[in-house]
Amino acid sequence: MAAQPEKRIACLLIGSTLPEGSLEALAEASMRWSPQVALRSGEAVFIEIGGSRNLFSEESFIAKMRVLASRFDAHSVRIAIADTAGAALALARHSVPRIDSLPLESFVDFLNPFATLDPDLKRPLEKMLHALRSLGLSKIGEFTSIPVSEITPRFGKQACEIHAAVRGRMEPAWEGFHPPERILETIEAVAGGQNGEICADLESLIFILKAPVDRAMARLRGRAQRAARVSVTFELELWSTIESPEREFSVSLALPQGASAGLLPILQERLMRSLEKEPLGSPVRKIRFEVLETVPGRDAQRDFFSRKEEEDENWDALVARLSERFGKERVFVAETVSRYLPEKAYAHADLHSRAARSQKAAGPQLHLRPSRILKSPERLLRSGRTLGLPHPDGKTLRANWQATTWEGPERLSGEWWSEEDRFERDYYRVTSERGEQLWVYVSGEAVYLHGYFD
Amino acid sequence: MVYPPTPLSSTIPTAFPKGALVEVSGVSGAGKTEVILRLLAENAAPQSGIAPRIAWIEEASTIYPCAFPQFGIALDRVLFVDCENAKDALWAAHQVIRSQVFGAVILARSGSFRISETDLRRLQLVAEKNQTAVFLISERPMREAWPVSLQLEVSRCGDSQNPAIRVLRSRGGGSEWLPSLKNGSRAS
Repeated sequence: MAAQPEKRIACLLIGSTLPEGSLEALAEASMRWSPQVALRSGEAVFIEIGGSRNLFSEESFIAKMRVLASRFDAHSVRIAIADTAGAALALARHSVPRIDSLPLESFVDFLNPFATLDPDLKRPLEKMLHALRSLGLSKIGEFTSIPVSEITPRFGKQACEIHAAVRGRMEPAWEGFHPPERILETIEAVAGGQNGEICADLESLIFILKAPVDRAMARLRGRAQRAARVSVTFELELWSTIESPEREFSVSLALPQGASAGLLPILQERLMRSLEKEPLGSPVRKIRFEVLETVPGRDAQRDFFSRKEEEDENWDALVARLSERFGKERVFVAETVSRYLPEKAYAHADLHSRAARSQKAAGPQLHLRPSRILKSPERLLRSGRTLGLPHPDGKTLRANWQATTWEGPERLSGEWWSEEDRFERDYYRVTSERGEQLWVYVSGEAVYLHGYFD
Repeated sequence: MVYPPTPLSSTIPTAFPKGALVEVSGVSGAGKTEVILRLLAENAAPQSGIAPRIAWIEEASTIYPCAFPQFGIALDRVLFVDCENAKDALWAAHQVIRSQVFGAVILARSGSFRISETDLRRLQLVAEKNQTAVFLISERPMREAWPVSLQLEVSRCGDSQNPAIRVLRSRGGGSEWLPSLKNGSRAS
């Protein structure tokens, strides 16, 4: 079996007219497959996939590219893969399986796949095509069967170039593709239906918003980045009752998001809360979605043998969603820190840092700590064996315990350098008659409840 | 002082009761949180080298993370969510379960936190669908809690460090690990 050639070029030939900027956005999103991407203005995207052919089959690439293209409204797209950009373009345009079966008219695609050469190129080409047809040739296979030594004297220099291009020995230089700096996606907010009703409710808006978010996230993935801050802008119908024709919602994400599946629920949550407080003054006619800040994405290659990457994505999406609703301080991963003051013996770990999330279980402590700790210690009233927890009003008791055993003390003191945090406490594990176990400390004459061995 | 804590049972299978709700109730200081931590530590013994993640959701949280390593639970595997009210806690539980990132979800109810039968059923369905073990912690056992597979009541006798576990009710979901739990602990 012959070895595969090094170079494999995929060509996506768009069959319909796309909205402005969509082809460039599709090319940008295609960069997830390969950094070598080129455009044929308004018509086609070329991707060099030879370097990564061991990572995926050409069939799976074609299937995924169709899905990606549909996100950018390219529903009618023809995809072909060949050794050169010209061959791929010609095969896609004429929908034939082999180069030999291509018509002679496809010469122009071989010579000028990126549409960057002189337009006058066509004139001598027409002349040559006329000469070939008069000889009864109609397919490229018939042309390539002519010996090379006879081509130049009979049909000129250009025919020799075409011959080399068809055989994959010559290809025009690739133009660099530079994606636009801003990731901005816009969509008309017109609900379905024959009358083209405009959108006013959140559910419809989120449904419409999904398309630009999908596109923006696909473009981000092409750049190997994730979104850290995004904005959604609603352009409103110009009713006389509204103060401003635009409403902008800027969302800083607790954890950067790399997929629309994680981002959309966060946006929905934010929009729902904002619009509950201040509803839109008039229906939305256009939605703009922009990625304002990005961070580097995850490793480009997917691990096919573990769910870890998928879990990480889900973790980020979940934490960002919970943080958006409850605040960053209320959603956390904890880590122990070297402080004696029990309530400050742990801190919130950095959710962004993978290193922080791969710490090992801490070694055993000298003394057992309770499973419950009060946010601030509460003073107890002590009378003989009875410990009482008073109401804030000080008149009645919220709870009381008949202490049977006091196990301890564990003396904790320190932080003498800080006026605010200095402490000296004798901690006891107190068991009540009913079997409840409390964590109390004595400081001076006072007894405080600090937690429960619950 | 007993340290490290004695195992809850040497015969509990190393698997969560996946897709089921388990309620553990008891007054403050009775040891119900410790029972859950031991169950998590013993049942979540990593078979594949990676321990399952745990989500700990509470309304007005008082959980003390420093206790987790004592029971052999790595803190980096635990996500704490401190909610303002019961509605938020339930919402968070649904989000966490649906994410399919966590092997066990603990939803701690405060005294005023009431879960309706409908909410319990919804929680049970989402837990079952995503094959996640859900533990409910409460001070008093819930009534009419038919979606809960297993209801345990925890109490301590005298100054014993190990809590006693009483099985109040069990349904099909928890039956596979219930007998060993009965045998291993001092269940009454």
